[in-house]
Amino acid sequence: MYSRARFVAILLVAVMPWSLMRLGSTLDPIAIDIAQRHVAPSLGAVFGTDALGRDMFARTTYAAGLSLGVALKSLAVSFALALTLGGSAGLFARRWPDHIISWVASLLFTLPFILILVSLFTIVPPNLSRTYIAIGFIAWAAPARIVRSEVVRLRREPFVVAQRAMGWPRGRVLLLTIVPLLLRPAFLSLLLFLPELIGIEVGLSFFGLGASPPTPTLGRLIYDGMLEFETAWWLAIAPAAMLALLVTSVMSIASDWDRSRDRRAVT
Amino acid sequence: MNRRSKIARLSRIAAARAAWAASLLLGIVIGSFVLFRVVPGDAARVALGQNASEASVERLRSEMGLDKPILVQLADYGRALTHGDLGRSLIDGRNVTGEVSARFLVTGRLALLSAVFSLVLSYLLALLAYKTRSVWPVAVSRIGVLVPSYSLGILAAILAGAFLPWLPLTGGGTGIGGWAALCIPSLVAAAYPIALMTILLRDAVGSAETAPFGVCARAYGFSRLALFHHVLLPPAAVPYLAAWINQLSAIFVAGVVLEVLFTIPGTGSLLLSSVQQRDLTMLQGLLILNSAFFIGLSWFSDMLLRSVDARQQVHV
Repeated sequence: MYSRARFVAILLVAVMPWSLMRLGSTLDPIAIDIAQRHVAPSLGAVFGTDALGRDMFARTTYAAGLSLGVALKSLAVSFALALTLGGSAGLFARRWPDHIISWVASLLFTLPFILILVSLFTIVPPNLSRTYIAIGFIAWAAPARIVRSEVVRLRREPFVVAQRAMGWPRGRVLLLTIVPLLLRPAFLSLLLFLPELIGIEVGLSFFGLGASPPTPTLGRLIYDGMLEFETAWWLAIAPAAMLALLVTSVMSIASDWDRSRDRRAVT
Repeated sequence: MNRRSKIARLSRIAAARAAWAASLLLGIVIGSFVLFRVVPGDAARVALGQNASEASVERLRSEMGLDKPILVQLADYGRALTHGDLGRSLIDGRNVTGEVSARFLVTGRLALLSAVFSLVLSYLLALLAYKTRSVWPVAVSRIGVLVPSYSLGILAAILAGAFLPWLPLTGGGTGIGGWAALCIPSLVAAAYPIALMTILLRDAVGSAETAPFGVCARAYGFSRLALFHHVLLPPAAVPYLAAWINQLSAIFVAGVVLEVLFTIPGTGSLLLSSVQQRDLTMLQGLLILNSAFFIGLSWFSDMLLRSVDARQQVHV
């Protein structure tokens, strides 16, 4: 029963970036209309307009889609890396592949990632999606540790040993028994990182690593809106509410998963 | 296990972990050397930009030693590094080691204050959640996850300007004024760790409460407050402290952004100006010195948690 609800939730989150961006771009997030500057929220412009008369509803939806999209892309990169690298570290525990992977993981885990990113993009020209892919290549370290220890634990579990004893080949046990059990913990720990990913984008744009100015992203809109908070309060409210909504729904999916695991552990 | 063999075992682990930490640092040094010297192809051209004259690029090239073979350059860099010399700024010739450490002290004060805030406030919120049996302390703490730190920072600056006009908001000297100026940004930087740590502590205390030893202690008739401090908190202490130390690097990232926002002359502002001026030696110094700090910190916290956690000392 709960698996169907989860499927729908994941589908919604996955389709949302695309549909939000489509909605935003049909409404045109960058059309400038100087006659309509700083219009407070009304029936014509639901979320009001900004200093250049751009419609905040179009900008917010487009930005939400874009931010969520790039964040999901970087999560996908980390997820794949965490599974393969963490999994092989666990499989070859205490041998050289494990030592190398754990070494790289603790390097990435220990350093504040903003230092790595800023250093990297001084040399390589930045853009939004490249930045997020780079974050994906940094963020796998924490889930990979979880995956590694899960693999080490699972390999000693009676049901895995039993399958090996029945003569199942190593690869089949790995793919059919161990990997499905890794998906949840790896995905869960990454999901909790998603809000931070969406939020960090403005921090990065201070360093010239965010989206370039006409493109709206959620972080950029909130930041710009906060700077004009006293003259036009509505500018920051809509994107901030959108971010809070996204984060809350992601958190509730994550905590729902956590609960369903607990329930299974009890019964 | 007797005391002496316990100390011997701990020091053996300490040595092994220190070697591991040293190898990480070596990796950073070589990695940053590759990133800043080898990847750009011509680091002097990257530093000076497309419009610089060939003569000035050539001068910088010989000044940086880029005309020597790459391994000689690495050896030179390593030799200077053992004396704590990270070179000079490409822009104005400042000593990189001195500049980075001076800025680091400011960020360090911010991070320290922020770490204290996150420990104290998350403890108080979890205690409140336990004492009042209500969900609002955790709900309040969730602000840190829901709102990004920079917008919380701007909001806090606006609110402080309106309600606490006597509080300085920029700068960051060593006097009372300097510490006061760091209060708001460090409180904001603490928001995210507070959320995570409050939830962690609340969950740990909740599960200890229903565990057999928790039920047993309650049956003895301890007061709720005594139960919290003497029975429920100790088993949660190690994961709680581990989360606290892990969050220091998140505090640092938030601090770097907030420093730019509040114009505090710390690591963040130095990072920003070095990126804008393409000061490669300064960036390399920033990367290496800050990494050294965080690698050292993680070694120290690992050893600290091992020595207080009885579960880690049982030899299996």
